[in-house]
Amino acid sequence: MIFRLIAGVLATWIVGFAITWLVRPRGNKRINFWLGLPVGLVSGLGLTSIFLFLWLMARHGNGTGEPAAMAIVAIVLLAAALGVQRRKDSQAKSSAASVRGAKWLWAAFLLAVLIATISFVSLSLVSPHGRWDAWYNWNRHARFMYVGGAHWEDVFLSPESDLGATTYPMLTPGAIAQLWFFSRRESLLIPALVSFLFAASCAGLLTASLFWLRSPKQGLLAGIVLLCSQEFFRQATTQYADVPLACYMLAAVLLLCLCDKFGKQSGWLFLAGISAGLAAWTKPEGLLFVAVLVFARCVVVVMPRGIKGWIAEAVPFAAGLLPILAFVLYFKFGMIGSQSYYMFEGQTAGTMMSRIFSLHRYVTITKAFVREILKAGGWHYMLPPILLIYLLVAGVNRSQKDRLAIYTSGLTTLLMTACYFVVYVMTPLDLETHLQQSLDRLVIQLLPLGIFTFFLLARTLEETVPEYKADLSAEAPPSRVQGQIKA
Amino acid sequence: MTLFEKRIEGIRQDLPPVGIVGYVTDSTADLMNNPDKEFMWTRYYLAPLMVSGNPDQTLLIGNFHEANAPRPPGFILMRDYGNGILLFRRASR
Repeated sequence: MIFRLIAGVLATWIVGFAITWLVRPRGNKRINFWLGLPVGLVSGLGLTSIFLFLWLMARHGNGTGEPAAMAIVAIVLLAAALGVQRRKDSQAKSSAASVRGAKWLWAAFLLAVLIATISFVSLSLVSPHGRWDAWYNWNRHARFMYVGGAHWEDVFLSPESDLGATTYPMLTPGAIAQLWFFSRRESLLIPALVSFLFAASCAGLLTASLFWLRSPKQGLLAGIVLLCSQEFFRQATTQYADVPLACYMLAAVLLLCLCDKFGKQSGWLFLAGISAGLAAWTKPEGLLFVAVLVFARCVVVVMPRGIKGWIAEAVPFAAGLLPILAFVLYFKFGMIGSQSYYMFEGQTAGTMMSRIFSLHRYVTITKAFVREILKAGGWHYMLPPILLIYLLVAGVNRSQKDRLAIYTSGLTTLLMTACYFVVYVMTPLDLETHLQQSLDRLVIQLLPLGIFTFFLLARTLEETVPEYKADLSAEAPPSRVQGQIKA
Repeated sequence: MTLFEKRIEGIRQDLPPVGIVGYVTDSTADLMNNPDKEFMWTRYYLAPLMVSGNPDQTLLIGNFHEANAPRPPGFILMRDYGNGILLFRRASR
């Protein structure tokens, strides 16, 4: 079973990585490779879950042969990725000098990786089935995909089903069922493994992206902050879909930011669109994220570059997003049909207006938000003060090259927070209960993006600390790759 | 949760693999709106069989923690698995 499981994970990873490699912009091979690893893994998990879903639809629930088909797809994509003729990629100037001078930072990062991994494994051993929503929704839907056979769709279509959960998208159930099919066993290990892969990828995305967007030390610091956020990894062990969603939101935003740093790169825009689409396939909040990201990016780009500038990047972004979005919308409105969403149940114009004009609700929600943000990541109110002190000491990044990236990431994070605020204003559920049961998870969804935004905004150690300033001249990433990369 | 799986292992072989069955319990949980853990676990372990909190079904799973808990009216006991798990069938109308 273990070998088949490894094969499944590898096939999934190869699918995502090969697509990432195929569309990579010509230029810095190191950025494409190191970023491609986590981007490839999360893309692969998402895209293969769609592949499995479509396979089950076409084969009336018969999953036999799907792993073999997926493996063939992986091999073909890998062959294509390796065989594509490209001009020799420029090699980035080695950033080894800046890294060699920060062995302590690498040691701290690796220690944080070790502790986070041990913490995840320990908590998973205590709760191998995850928590409530895992057995009520995510893993249960995976069971339907794996053992349901011709009745795999019963969970969506039965009038008795699922207290609202059938409206939830199926990325994590599909990713879990995919690996069950590969290993030919409904192993308890696999849902925990999928959760771990997403949590690890999130940390990898954050570290690798800031490594190149700002500096190696900045990437390592950001990675350490996330890895030391014990609440983030505790949430991952619940086997809910909040950490996967956080991953896709971060991936979509950071790929856009890479384009701001290194010039318009159609491949990265395409991957950003895929990541946004996969966010929509993960949780209903993902659809909200797509709308927010498109709006935020439009606002940020139109002002300096005009509508034409925005359209030029929107086209490759849409090429990645729209096929997945179309599939998600078909799932929600074509397959599931008219099942109501809890936000609209029992709502009338009168009740909605009374909530909008209730000052008490705003005060309650604000207090809850402040409390959860201060507690973010499980740092016991320490994270915001620590980051504030770092910002005061290091200073604010005033580089014009990073403006668009900071605005994109910051505006997206703020708008998502505002939208979640509005959801609580309008919720028909008991407000205190709703806040208690869900706000911590919404904060976890935005935590990696928040950390990413912060470390874009803060100056780096290389810019601030005299003994590291020499590393600036040895550092790699050029602000433009060789020539402007064309589509 | 793993211990609960052992409790319902016996009833699994007597239930159809697919379809819908009902579920009753002596816990005070509102199964349709605020279900308890054991109901959720039953639904998880018996998937793809749908387990409904609506007792108006042909077959009914009973999960009782008290020996003298009231049994559902209109149903005949098919089998007692000896661990609080019982299987009922609707009496002929």
